[in-house]
Amino acid sequence: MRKKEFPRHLILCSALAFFFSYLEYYYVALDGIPYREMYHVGFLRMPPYVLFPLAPALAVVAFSPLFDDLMLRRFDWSEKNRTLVLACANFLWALTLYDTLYYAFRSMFPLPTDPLGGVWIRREEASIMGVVNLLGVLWPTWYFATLPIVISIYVAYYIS
Amino acid sequence: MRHRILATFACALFLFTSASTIALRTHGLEKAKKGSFRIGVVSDEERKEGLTHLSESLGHLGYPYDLIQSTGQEFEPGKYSLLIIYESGLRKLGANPSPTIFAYAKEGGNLLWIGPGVGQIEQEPLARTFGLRFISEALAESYRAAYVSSGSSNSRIFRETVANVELAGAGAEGYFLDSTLRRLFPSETRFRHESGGIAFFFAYDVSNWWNVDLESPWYRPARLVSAIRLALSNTTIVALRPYPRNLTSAFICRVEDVDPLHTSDEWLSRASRYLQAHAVRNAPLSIALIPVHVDPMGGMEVRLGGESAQPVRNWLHAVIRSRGAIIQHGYTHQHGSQRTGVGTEFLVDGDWMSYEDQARRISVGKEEIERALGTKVVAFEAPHYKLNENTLRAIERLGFRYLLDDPNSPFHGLRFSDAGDLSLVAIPETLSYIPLGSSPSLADKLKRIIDQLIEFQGILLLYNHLYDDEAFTIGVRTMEYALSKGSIWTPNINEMGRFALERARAYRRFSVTYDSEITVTLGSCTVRGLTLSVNSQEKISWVKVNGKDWPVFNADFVILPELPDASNTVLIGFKEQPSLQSLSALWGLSLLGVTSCMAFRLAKRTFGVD
Repeated sequence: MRKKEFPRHLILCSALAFFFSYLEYYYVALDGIPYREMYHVGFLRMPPYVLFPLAPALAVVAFSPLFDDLMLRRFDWSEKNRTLVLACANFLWALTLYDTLYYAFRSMFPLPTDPLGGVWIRREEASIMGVVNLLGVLWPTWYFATLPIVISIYVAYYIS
Repeated sequence: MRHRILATFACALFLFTSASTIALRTHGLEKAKKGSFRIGVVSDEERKEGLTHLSESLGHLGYPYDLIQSTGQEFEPGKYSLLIIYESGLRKLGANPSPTIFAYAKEGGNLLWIGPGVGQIEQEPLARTFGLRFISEALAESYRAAYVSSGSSNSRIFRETVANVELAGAGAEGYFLDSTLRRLFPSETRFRHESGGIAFFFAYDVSNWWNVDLESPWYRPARLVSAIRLALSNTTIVALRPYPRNLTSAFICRVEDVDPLHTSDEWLSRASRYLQAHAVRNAPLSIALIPVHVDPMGGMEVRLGGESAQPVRNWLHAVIRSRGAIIQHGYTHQHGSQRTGVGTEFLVDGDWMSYEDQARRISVGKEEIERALGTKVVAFEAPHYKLNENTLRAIERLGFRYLLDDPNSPFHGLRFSDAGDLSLVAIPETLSYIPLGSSPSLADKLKRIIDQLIEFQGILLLYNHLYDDEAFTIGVRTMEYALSKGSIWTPNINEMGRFALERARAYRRFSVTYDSEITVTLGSCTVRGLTLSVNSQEKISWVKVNGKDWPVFNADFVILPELPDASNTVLIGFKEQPSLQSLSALWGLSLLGVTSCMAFRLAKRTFGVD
């Protein structure tokens, strides 16, 4: 990925994450209650639609520079590795943002029918990794794994 | 070197905080007083209308209760938070019930007395338990009592026995009035005895004569529910709410007597506008549909599947697309030489039709609707509500689950099969109908009744034939007024019936016990959204459903998921639970440190940074 392409993809991934979380919170609801709140089954306690199609759709967009490289037959392995690592970072960023925005919408602009409207993430809603209580606010533990990875990769890429 | 020290430090923090979090789990919770929440009804076993109404009220409010049955059964008053006593049940409290009632009140128990018979309690225990002195008991008319009044509302008193009591410490919550609206003597009283318990007293049978006073049809259930709530106001209550998702009431509009001859442009235009007005407010219509229109005198028979019924079929399809539902309303809604819509169908000149004939007519009608509309019909309404045991057997056998009825109760009625399973839910009409040529003042009356029903979470069911434009306007205004009350559920009849059926299944095993947490047991339920409301001083802090953490709760209610097991346990806690699921900031920061160190080193290598 060329350096000038990077911000474009980052914005694209962020916009898609925003769109998906907006769509999920306001439109994926059963009888007025967001689906995510009522269903706690499935792999890693994630709603099934996250596994497919939301996460794959985010992955397709995040990894599109790599697909570009492959289709344009750029055979520089070092360049391909860099693109792959950046794509992974974009993907992790998009997933984290998508999840955070869901709770942001719920706590700041809640659905009138949502019993958890106005409430940030609850301990019981976390994935199997649980939540971290940081300054009285709960954060999913997996954010503490994904965000350092994403920031480290972006910083390393920026200074390279 | 610097990175290695940082990574080692982060790893050490990580291990330390993990170990401390596990150690936290061993901390036990403070133990609290054990107890249970349950209501005991002391009454004769015979299922009279009043007792049925009381049972339906308690079921609707979602309180666990026992009907204290035979005299042989050991009676343990202490396990009940409230005892509701009828005169007919007094013998269950022993040869002399006064000491039992007094002892229960002395222990802090709450009491609700319904109707006459209080003279059987000795004067001193009566004064110390209910704060009353008994004077006499007779038919209401002998005291010139014409109305009963509480607050700003009143209702008629009929030919019934009432008790004349004098206040001896209790406060009057209502009075009997004579025909000039002059106060006579207390009709309802409330007394808080020394032990803190509350004793509520009705001098008339508040569980009877429902829906008889047409000006104020639901005054009595409203008073009964209010008294139960008042008597329990000093108790932690866990109730299974009557509607899903903590909603306060449910509104349904039924369009009545639609048949294949409803094809005039005028009616269809009005019906389409009515559908539109409801659809934009997400309030579906439920249609009471007669599958065949007949006029034996004119030799006419029009079937729903016939070509001429295409316009009404189109409208019905539009109703179904707008989340509406179809109710089978008999087969022809007539008998003999009458035209459709005029007479009853199963009751012919005072004689009930045989089971076979009823079953055949209903079955043919069901097939006609299902073939013509391509939809399954599971709700039934007998023409003019005239049905007997044979009708009920026939509709059960034909797969109907929901019955529209006029049972003089604003609550669901339940019917059980011979095997003891729930087989039918009766859904009452509570707002009556809009007659031909109604005046706009009917809308005001309907609004008053809506207010009364909402006080005790009654069902709001209006039916409308859409006879004329005034009926259209009143119907729409009533719907808008009901929805303006907020938190109103707008199901179709099938959705409401299914929820009521599933809730009733869960309710059959409903029990509540207190320890440091509240433990609620419920039967199975295949719908989501059952709501437990918790009236407690403390806010709910965590909930577990069948041992798993459950997040959908607020300070005083829990919205439940599907309950798959025959017996399900909901644990409600009020103090934050130490748990591995909620980790300390140190844990997070150390994870952040470890991941940052590792990821940055790898990233630098990938991007060739020295």
